[in-house]
Amino acid sequence: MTCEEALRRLYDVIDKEADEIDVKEVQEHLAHCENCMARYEFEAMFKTFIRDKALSTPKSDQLKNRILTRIEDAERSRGRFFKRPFRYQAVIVAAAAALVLCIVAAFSVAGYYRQRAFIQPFEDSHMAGLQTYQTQSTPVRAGNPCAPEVLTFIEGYLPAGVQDSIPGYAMIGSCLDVIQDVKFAHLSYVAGESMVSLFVGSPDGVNLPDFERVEVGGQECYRYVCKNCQLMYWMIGNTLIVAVSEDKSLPLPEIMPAVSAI
Amino acid sequence: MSKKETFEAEALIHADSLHRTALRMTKNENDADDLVQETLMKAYRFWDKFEEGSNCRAWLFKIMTNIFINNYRAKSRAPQVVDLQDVDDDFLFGQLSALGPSENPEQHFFAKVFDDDVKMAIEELPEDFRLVVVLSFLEGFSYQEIANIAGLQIGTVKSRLHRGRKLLQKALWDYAVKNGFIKEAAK
Repeated sequence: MTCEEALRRLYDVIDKEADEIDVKEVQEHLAHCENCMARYEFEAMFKTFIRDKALSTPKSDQLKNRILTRIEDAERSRGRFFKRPFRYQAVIVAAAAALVLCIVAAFSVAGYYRQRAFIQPFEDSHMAGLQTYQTQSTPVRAGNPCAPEVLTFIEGYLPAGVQDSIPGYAMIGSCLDVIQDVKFAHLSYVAGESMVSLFVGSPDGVNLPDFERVEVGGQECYRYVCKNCQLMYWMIGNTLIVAVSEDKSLPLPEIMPAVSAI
Repeated sequence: MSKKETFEAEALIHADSLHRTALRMTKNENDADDLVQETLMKAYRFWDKFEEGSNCRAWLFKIMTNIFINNYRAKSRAPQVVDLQDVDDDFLFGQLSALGPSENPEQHFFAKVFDDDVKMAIEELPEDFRLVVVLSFLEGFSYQEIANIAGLQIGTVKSRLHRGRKLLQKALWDYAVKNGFIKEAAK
């Protein structure tokens, strides 16, 4: 092997890429060629030198930990959910749907009972008045004067007072009711067979439910219709008026403006 | 073993090695950190695609090289022109030999140059040459492995490595002369 041939294989040999035969022939040449030997030794040394000097780098333990944390985060956020067999997903989806339905149902049931709890005492009071009016042996005379204690009570709410009759309606009675621990003036009016109970009092402490919002005769009010009657409530200033009638078609705020307009 | 555990045992152990190359290629700690994290997260995503028993380290370097080339390499994509016309293959050897046999100039030279100087000389190599030099010199990959990692022909790997060596020797010589470690006796 000539020096030229030996040097042509220089880097292949240094980088351990030369085949065995080449390596052997190069070694034979180097054994008796000082110059080539020196060059080979130098290049090998140079490679080791570079490697030794540049190999050390700061430890990357922190980096590894950061990657592990990211992997854990990725695992968590990707969620194992979609990797599960399908039937488990279906069960989970069904269970979730059922849970949502239960919650919705619970809320509507609770909502219904809340509404009923509001309506019931007004309705009971109204129905009791109606029953008395219809069944008493000596019929209650329409056109009763308002009871003095009711008048006194109402003065605080409707300063102008209350008329015993309003167009088309005559008062048949009045009393003070306690509903939901709040005192109300209960006024009953009749027109023919239909009767209207008005409850006048303070809204403080009354749990007003979310009824359908309607506008009747320019008055914004909330209406609820149940089996026996309809109920509407509205505010005049800071006064709560609740009207109940078994006639579900009466536009209550419209036919009872007198109470507010007096 | 869970996916995470096998990944930790087979891939994450190469983080130091990846980090070292990333540092030389990006030339700064933050980019190197990002590059290694990006590489290993991508490897983790494609862990199912990795064929067990094949060279995991080379696979990771291939992923990292791709990310580096796509996202990190210097914006200018013009071909890197390196003028090596006047540099002989045995440039450094020749220079050192000319200093005289008695002083053992190679040993003197190698002893004088610091770690950081070598690292800087590597970082100053043009990217194409730097990549093959780092993969070969520091990471000990074979020509074939480097060809696979960098997506090059073996012949290209060899010629870039050859030129990279010359550039590195020239740079270190100039550095030594500039700092007075070596008196430039020979011309």
